[in-house]
Amino acid sequence: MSPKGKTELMWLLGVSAILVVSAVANIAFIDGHTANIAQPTDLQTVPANSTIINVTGSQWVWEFQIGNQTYFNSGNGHSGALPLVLNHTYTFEVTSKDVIHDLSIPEFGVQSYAVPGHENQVSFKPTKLGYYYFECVEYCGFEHYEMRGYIDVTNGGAS
Amino acid sequence: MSFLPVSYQALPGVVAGATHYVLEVMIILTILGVLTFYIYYLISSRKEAVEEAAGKEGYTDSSEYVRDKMYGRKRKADFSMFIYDDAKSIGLRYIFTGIAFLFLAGSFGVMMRVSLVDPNPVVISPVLYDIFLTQHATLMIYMFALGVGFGFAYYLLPSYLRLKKDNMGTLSSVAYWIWLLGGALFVVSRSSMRWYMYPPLSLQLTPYGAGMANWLAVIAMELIFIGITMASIIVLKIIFLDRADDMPLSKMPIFAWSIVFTLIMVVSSDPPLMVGLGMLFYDFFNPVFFTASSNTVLNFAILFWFWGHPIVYIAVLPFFGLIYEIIQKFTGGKVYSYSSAIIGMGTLLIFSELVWGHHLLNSGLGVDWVLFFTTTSFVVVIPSAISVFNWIATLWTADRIRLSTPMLFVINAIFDFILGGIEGVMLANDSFNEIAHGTYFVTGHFHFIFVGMTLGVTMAVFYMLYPTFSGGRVYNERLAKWHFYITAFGSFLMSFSWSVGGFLGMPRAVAGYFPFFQPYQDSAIIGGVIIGIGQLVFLYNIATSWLKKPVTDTNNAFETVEDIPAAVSEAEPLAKDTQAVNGGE
Amino acid sequence: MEGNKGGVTLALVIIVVIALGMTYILSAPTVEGITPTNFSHKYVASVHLGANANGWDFPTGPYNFDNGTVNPTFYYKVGTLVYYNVTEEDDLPHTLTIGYDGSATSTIGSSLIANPGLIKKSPTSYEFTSKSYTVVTESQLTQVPGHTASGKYPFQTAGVYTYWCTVHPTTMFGLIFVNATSAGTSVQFHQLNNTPVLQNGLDSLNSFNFKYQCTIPNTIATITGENFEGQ
Repeated sequence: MSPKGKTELMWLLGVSAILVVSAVANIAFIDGHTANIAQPTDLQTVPANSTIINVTGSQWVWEFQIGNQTYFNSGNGHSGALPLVLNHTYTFEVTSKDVIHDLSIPEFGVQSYAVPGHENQVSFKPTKLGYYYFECVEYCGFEHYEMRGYIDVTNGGAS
Repeated sequence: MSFLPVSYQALPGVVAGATHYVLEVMIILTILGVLTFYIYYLISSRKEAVEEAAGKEGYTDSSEYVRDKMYGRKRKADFSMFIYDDAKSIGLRYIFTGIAFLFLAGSFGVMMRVSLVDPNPVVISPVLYDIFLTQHATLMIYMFALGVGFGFAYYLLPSYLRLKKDNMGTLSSVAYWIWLLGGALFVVSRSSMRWYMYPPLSLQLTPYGAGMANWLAVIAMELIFIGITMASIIVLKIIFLDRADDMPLSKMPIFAWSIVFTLIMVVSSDPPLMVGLGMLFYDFFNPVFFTASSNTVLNFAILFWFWGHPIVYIAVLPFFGLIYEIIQKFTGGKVYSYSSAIIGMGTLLIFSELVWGHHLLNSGLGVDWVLFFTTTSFVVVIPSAISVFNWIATLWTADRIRLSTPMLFVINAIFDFILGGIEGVMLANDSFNEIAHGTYFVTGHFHFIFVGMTLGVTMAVFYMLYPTFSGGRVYNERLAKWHFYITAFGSFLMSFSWSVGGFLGMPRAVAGYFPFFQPYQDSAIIGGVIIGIGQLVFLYNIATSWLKKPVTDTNNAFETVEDIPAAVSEAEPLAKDTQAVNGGE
Repeated sequence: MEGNKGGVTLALVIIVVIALGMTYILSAPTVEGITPTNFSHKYVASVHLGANANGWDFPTGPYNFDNGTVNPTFYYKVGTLVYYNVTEEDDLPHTLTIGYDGSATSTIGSSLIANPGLIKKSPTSYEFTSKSYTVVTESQLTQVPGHTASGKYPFQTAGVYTYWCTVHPTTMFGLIFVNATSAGTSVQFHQLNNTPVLQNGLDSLNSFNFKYQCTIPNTIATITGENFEGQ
């Protein structure tokens, strides 16, 4: 093999090594966190001990329903934030009334499309106290930017 | 009311605005009609003169006469490019139309940036922001990136491949006009559905949904697709059937190869979306294909991304090829490894068809598909890595590198491509994708590549071809350097701010944002405005230097004298009104 | 030949293209009647109306013909998001459309306050205001008695609103008053037996509304932690 080819091969091996490490890490993450990945509800069981929150997106408001209690996204302020309890597993069942939305909580790596006529499920466990924002990250028309608000992770007590 | 699409009836308040809107559209159509007639008048009077000259030489088809007289020759830019249909004229049309759309869509982009100075949409209404968003993306991709890609292919390939004949001019011309009509109608539609047109939003015909005339945008997209598909097949035919006999595929210039892969990608991946758009148009009147009740809403997204991922490679792959060519010109040497350049681009073609799902990782594809698409997204990095290595190795092993403006643009393109590519690898991790999907991180990722490579290399090639375009003028090197430094700095500032903001979860495509994202938005605004200023420097440079005397011959670095077929290298003036075409003025 | 204006032409064409494109896009219609502009609402209310060609009324059971008050008048505070549930009571098509007729001090507003019977005399003159919004559309309804469709509308601007059915504008119409401040000192109406009657103060109107029509379903709770008064 020519010296040119050798240099190129070495470069490719180096790049491939990095990619293989990333890909394996990625596969390991996916295998270990299947519940954290948005999937159709009918293909997935709800994790044990988790509280189901029905999330409905509509133009242009998020509606979180826990039992009989309903919360709406509240825009910029902390008041009216969706209360969650630390280290408790929650399962979002996300759907939409009109167009495609996408609920994202970047701090907890939770993201799921809200698709009309199709329910996605994603589970997560808040591990930090405080206020964290959620937002709609799939363009859904005029007031897309207003579909945002806060969740309030507390030590609980009442839940 | 019954003749209106269902969505019109279902949605509120349209009736009040409809009369106003129809009037507005009628006025625009009238103006366009008058303009078209005037252009037709100009063309037909020119055509008469050409036909007369053709008749004297015994041609029955005047277009054939023009192509025979002009093919393969260096071609100056003037208005006759819109009348003649030889390959070079078509190429010039595409290049200059593409640049006009670059400025139009760029001004929309700057407008979007400026409107984000405040966390709340106080500068322009979110409705206008959404229209700018949609128009910026669609025009930049379909009209600018694809346009200049086709332009350089049509312009450079005849001399690169020493074409034997040039006989598809009329069809090429038709393809160009269809494509241009599609682009113009897309602007006229004032659509605000974003470039991926997801139903049911795109079926909401109100200013708050996808725009009142979104049906027109869907027709416009179909026209664009018809245009680019026709042009792709013609260029593929030119490359495979019309190149010189002594030019085997294995010796073809790398640029020609990059065009081959690009166009195969176009014709193999756009049929799904063309079909999808047809179904979408049907849904305006009778929603049956993409409806919530049958759980088929996401089907359109899948049809879209089956095309939507290849298109982002289509928008950069011609520029991969051009980078190889430019590097060779500025180092005076051969490319480090010809075969791995071809392999790198060819495997990109194959893998580009297998990674589209990574745009929909969080939509509920299921774990198996997420595994598949994230893994292929890692694999697709390897072809890009081969190309990056090849560029750097060619530069590394070169004896000397001439660092004039085009070369600076190319080096910046490679640098930005590496940054954007690393961000792409990060996004391929599902754990990170759950955080960053739909945020400015993605915007930063592809603006690094599109501004750095697509825009940068376009400018590099334009500067290199400028003596030929302008008939022997030279651009002001100082202003060109300023253009480069301003663009490169603005682009880096904008994309980098977006990447940092997006890393923290700053959502994209929003007319307002959480106030704590203000710093990242502000620095991106500064970057965006700086890019805009840089392009104004370019425009000023072109305008003023074109006014000066010709100081050099009309050769350019791309098309060496040997590239021009001997048979027609002698100046053979056409009829008197076409003499300007040959650089004689 | 000396200079050539090719570059200048290019620059001019580009400037013209940008100017035309920018003007065209910036002149896009951005408002459509009184379609809601944002959701920074402070209060939430819910109304259950019966759509009946003889007039809007309040269904009590699953549905009910001509149940009591016809074409009621509503009173809300600014910033109230109202959920409308419309139950069909006949087999005719209907819409629930809201029109904004101006602030309480506008000509229309003050003439209505001075003489609320005006709308009874000429209801259709309030129908085709340029600022209207259809909360429940014709296609949402099925022409099957008992079927319920819903929509919502946030009242963000104080003033006088009308609501009507575009199919039956002469019979199905009514008034909505939106008060500017929560203190609510402006003149208000109390609706009784089909005829608006002048009354002062906000308390009475709130107690009226929530006593008779505005039940708060379980699904609607706190929005900003602040409940509307009169709950």
